[in-house]
Amino acid sequence: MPDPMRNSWIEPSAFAVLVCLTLPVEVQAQEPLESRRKSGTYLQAGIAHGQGHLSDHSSLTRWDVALFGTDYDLVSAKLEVESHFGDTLLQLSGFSLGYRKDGLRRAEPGHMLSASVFRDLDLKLFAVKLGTGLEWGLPSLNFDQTEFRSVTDGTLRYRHTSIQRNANVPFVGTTTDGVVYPFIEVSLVQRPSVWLFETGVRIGIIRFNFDDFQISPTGQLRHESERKLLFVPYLFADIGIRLF
Amino acid sequence: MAAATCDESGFGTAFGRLFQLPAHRRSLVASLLLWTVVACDDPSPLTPSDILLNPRLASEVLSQWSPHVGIHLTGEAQAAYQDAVSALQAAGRLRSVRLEIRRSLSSADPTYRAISGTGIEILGLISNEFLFSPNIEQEIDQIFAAFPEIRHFQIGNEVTTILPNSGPTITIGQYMVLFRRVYDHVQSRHPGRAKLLTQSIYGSGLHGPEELQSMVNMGLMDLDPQHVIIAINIYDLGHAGQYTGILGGSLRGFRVWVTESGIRNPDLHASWVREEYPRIRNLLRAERVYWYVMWGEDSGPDTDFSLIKNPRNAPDYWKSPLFKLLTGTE
Repeated sequence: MPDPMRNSWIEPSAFAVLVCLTLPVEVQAQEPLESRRKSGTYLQAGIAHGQGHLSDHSSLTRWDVALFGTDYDLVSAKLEVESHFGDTLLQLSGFSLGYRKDGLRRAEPGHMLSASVFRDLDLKLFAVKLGTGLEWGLPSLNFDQTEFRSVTDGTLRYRHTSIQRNANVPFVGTTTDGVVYPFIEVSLVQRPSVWLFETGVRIGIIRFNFDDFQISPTGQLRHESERKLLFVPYLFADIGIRLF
Repeated sequence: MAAATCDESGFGTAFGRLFQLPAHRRSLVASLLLWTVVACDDPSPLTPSDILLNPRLASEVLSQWSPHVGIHLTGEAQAAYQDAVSALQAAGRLRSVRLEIRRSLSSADPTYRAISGTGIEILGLISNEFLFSPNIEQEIDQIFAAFPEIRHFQIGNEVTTILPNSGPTITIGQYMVLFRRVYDHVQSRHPGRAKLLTQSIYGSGLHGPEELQSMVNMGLMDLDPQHVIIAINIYDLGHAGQYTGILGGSLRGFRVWVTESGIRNPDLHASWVREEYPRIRNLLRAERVYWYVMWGEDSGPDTDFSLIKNPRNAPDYWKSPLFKLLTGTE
């Protein structure tokens, strides 16, 4: 079974804790709850980090030592505009529009736009926010992995893992260069004064291709493929300021 | 501060309010915006001395190297080629070479014999000039007969971009008709004789992915992946991600060879292998990456891709830092 939850959550968690601990005491105290929810539209910036394994443990090509690895390891920067309603609307507390740059060392891939709605539950010290939405864009190429294995008789084996491209990103290139997928999100939010502090996890529900190739010494090709829906989580920590 | 509800504010009003914020709030907003404009810098390339002086970096280059090199057949380099191929072979860094089969090339050509005599596997690039033959099937028969040791043949190279306008040119649609004819002929008259590689797609910018998409639309995916390998030249990985949708979709079952890759600066050859070869493999699932080129003349646009130069001085020809690293000569 794939084990997408085998993630290192240490770095963003440490960052989130650091943010909370460094808040002044008077800032940490939430404004008194009134009958209406505190409304506002915030500009948020943050970092995100996801890391894990996509590949099966049992496959045509799986072996003990990964030459190139099948892990993905992404550090991202994000920018969002998030609006909190004064009153719930259709059971929703607000919506969010965002942009995330996955993989900061390469400029071309890893540009994702997102739109989501959320409902928050105010627990006085902070609010728990549950959200869902869609991400669309050019995915990071960190999810495209190939691991090779040569065996002693000259047979070449390799497994290629990739996101199933299912959308077009216009004005960029080919017709199957983009991806769109749903996600769910759980986070903790504090909104003292004009500030917003948020940390949580977003889980993309993404379809992946797994292709196993085997080429015999005589050139005979054997190809096995499958598609799987995987949960790809990443942690994030945001800081925001109320615009209006 | 009085909080505004979301439904009170239209976009124009909201945008206007952004500029009405106090100066310190505007600074904070600007800082948050700036946060997203983080440096997207590519990793700094390593110099030859960085690599040669660091066993770990040298080991990484060697582990990423793909033992395949393109060679321009020319008589003046015969002795140097023979020496360079043997040195790379002896070091375990060369398994196959890509050679262009021109109409003028005979299987008795001394340079060809010198290279094939080393026992190295050969990928035969059937020159673009054959694409304009009225009977390409007959040409294929003759090439197969003349070069029985070659088991992989590539039908053309960068056919829509490399041919000079002064001579005949070919569109990708015309090429696909021709490739289909060659494919059908080989399967019917020479079954099992050879694998065919498509023409190499030009390796920079969006042209390559768009051309591969066109080839798919014109029937490439209808051919049997047992007998056809997709060939790509790649010098710029900026748009390599554009291939992934096609290779993971219509061409999912096909093998991929990168038939040319490299960088025009000998000081960056090793860095290219270390940084870009793994990306090429990961993105394109390329089984092979052919370095371009063993010798690209001593002057001109291809010279600084060369692993060796001044072949007339063999055995004291110039060797690039990457060549020295691969052969363990320095």
